[in-house]
Amino acid sequence: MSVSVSIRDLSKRYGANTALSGINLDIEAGQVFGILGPNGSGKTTILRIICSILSQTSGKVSVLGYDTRLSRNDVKERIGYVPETPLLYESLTPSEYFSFVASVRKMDQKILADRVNNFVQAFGIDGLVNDLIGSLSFGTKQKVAIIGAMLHDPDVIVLDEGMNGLDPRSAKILKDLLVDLAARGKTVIFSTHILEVAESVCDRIAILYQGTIVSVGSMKELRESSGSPETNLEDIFLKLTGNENIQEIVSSLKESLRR
Amino acid sequence: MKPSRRLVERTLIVEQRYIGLRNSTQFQNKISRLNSSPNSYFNRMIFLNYSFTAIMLIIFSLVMIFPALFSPTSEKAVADVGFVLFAYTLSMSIYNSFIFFNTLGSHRLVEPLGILPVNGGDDILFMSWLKYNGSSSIFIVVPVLVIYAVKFSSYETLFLGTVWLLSIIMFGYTVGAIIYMSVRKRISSERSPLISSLKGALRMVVIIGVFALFEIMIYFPAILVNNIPRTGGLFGIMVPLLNVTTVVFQASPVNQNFIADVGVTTFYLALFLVAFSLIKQKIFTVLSNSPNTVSGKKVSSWNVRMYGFLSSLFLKDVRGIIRKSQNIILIFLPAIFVLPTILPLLVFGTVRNSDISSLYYSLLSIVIISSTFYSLVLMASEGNGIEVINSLPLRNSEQIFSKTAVGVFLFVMIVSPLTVMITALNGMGLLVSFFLLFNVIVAYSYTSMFNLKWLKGKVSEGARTLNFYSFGGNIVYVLLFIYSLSLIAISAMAGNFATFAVFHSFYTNSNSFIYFESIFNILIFSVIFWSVKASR
Repeated sequence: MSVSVSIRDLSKRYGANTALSGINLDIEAGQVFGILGPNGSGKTTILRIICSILSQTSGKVSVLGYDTRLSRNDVKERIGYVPETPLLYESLTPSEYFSFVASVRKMDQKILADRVNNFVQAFGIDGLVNDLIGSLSFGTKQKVAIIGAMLHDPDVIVLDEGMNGLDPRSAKILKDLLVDLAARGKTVIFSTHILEVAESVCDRIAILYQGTIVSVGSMKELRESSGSPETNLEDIFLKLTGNENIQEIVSSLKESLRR
Repeated sequence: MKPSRRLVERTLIVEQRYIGLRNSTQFQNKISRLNSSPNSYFNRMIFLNYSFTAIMLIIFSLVMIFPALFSPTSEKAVADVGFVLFAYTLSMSIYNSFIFFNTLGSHRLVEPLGILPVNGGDDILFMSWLKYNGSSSIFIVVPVLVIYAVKFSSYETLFLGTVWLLSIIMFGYTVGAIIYMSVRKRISSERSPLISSLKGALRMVVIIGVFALFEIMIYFPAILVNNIPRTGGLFGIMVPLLNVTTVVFQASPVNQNFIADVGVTTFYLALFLVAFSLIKQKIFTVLSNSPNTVSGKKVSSWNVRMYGFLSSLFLKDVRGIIRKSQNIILIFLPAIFVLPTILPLLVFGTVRNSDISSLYYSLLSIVIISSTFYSLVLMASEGNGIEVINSLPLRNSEQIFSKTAVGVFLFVMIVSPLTVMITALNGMGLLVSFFLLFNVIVAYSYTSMFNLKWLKGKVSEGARTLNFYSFGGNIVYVLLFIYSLSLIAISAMAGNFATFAVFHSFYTNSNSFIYFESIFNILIFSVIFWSVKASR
């Protein structure tokens, strides 16, 4: 498989604060790639740099051969991005939002109507497409954001905690769809805190901690590198991110609540 | 343990600023370089913003007062200025209060208070607004009170004026809250975008009507005084706001005494306090409860339509504005601000005697105010949608052109009828009327394009939301105003220069001035258009 997303010596700083440093990563086409990490580890920053929304401080990132800093619109044409919270135009209806996104992306009218029809039915929001987005629940907004990101059939799909707020049926549909898209040669990159999802869906996983990658590989490779082949992703994650002493922390919390 | 009320008051203001700035790299750099906590940065920023506003208002007030001091009837003239400044304080308080609630509401900043054991949340809202925002308008009235009291030895003016000032600020807060509650999108009852747009438009008509009446009262009290049958002293004393010349400044010929003035002042203070008490809890409840969401399934027919690239951006902005009453109010504000320029032309018939260049300058004042306001409103109305824009393959120039087009559309809707009315009243020729309108629209287009390009440059990379504070707060209005004014001045000076060079006179060839203006306006438009087009 060819490399779809290539990241070399990536760093991102905000003044004196370092959000990412020394990131090197190759993500192949046809893979579901998971990015895991505790809150504030740099997951969103790396995903936004891949999508050309944010510029890196140093290093090089290319998506399908396009430099994310120099060829922003070439990258954006080929990517579908679902942000961590569904920030949308609240005064548009979902159908108007889809029209807007598709028009900017210069899609074909017939293909658009067909895709929207299928997606809204699949996610069970066909009865809500004429309501203002501002009036929809968080989960429904998330579905609108996902559909908007997928409409143009992008080669690279980036979901920043894309399962947030989805009901179990919709989450299952999305998971299966992502696996199927990867099988068709698309690249799927997503961050999540739901380790079971990552374990079941991802071909490869990178674990970020304090702005650097502490481990990357398939589940099998992660297990081998952890030294215990039977262990699960949660244990590997906690070990790599310095959170092994969970029991001690819980005991201390219990104690403080009793005081 | 109860959270400190003062901390909550300040947090509400800091949060508004923070949300507007949080994604700016410049802001992140500043914060990371600070030795102290980020709070000190915000404290300084809030203090500077407040001080800037206060100083500007004192200067504005003094500029208004000094000519009146040298008038032959200086006592009455200063009192009249005092009345206008009191009215201005009320307008500003209403506007500030509306913007305050709008920002709190759109970012849902009051909702966390709902789950905290904070007593008197309604008072916290008021104090937060008053301390960091609303009280700045005091500075526009204080100079006139002090000058009047000292010059005319009327120290009761200081006492009564202060009470009226505080009452009017409190009343402005109440009115701003009422307007916000009336225009806030009632999501649960407005599922249809069409109904939402219609209701929004209806509310706007009512609000604009009330504002227009209010403005006429402020700028042309003579209309009221001359047309409403006089009711002797009672009228002069009892009509709130209009009565400040009598009650506060004691400059009216109406007989009154200090006891009556104190009585009237106490009456209105009590009335405003009652209104304030009724509203403050209501606005807190509205802001601290999350809006209802739609989840029920219903049958509906729908289709998704494709539009042209720029049309889709244009439609998105137009929908965003007409479906949010808050945005419509801001779009119509320039019309309200320029009423003093327009009304003399229409009401008092000066238009019939004016030469074309004077009319043109009057219309340019609308251009300057509109391009200042619309540019900012169009950028800030992007709100959370900036995240969508960031993820789409769009060039800056495409966004600027589409927003300029929306602004031109709104501007033409407001200004065209006015221009036609003015040209018809003036009886000017068709050709010169056409060029007058053409010049005004072209001038709006390039000032707006310039301002939008500047504002776009202020949007931080990767911004996830935009509000008025994303661009620097009150200072940005002044800067945009200066940019618009400067661009317009270049064209006007060039037009005058050309007219003088050809005819050796400024006044005898107004028509030629308008034609010359067309050439210079097109030139400036072209330069700015190409500079925007070249931006990535």
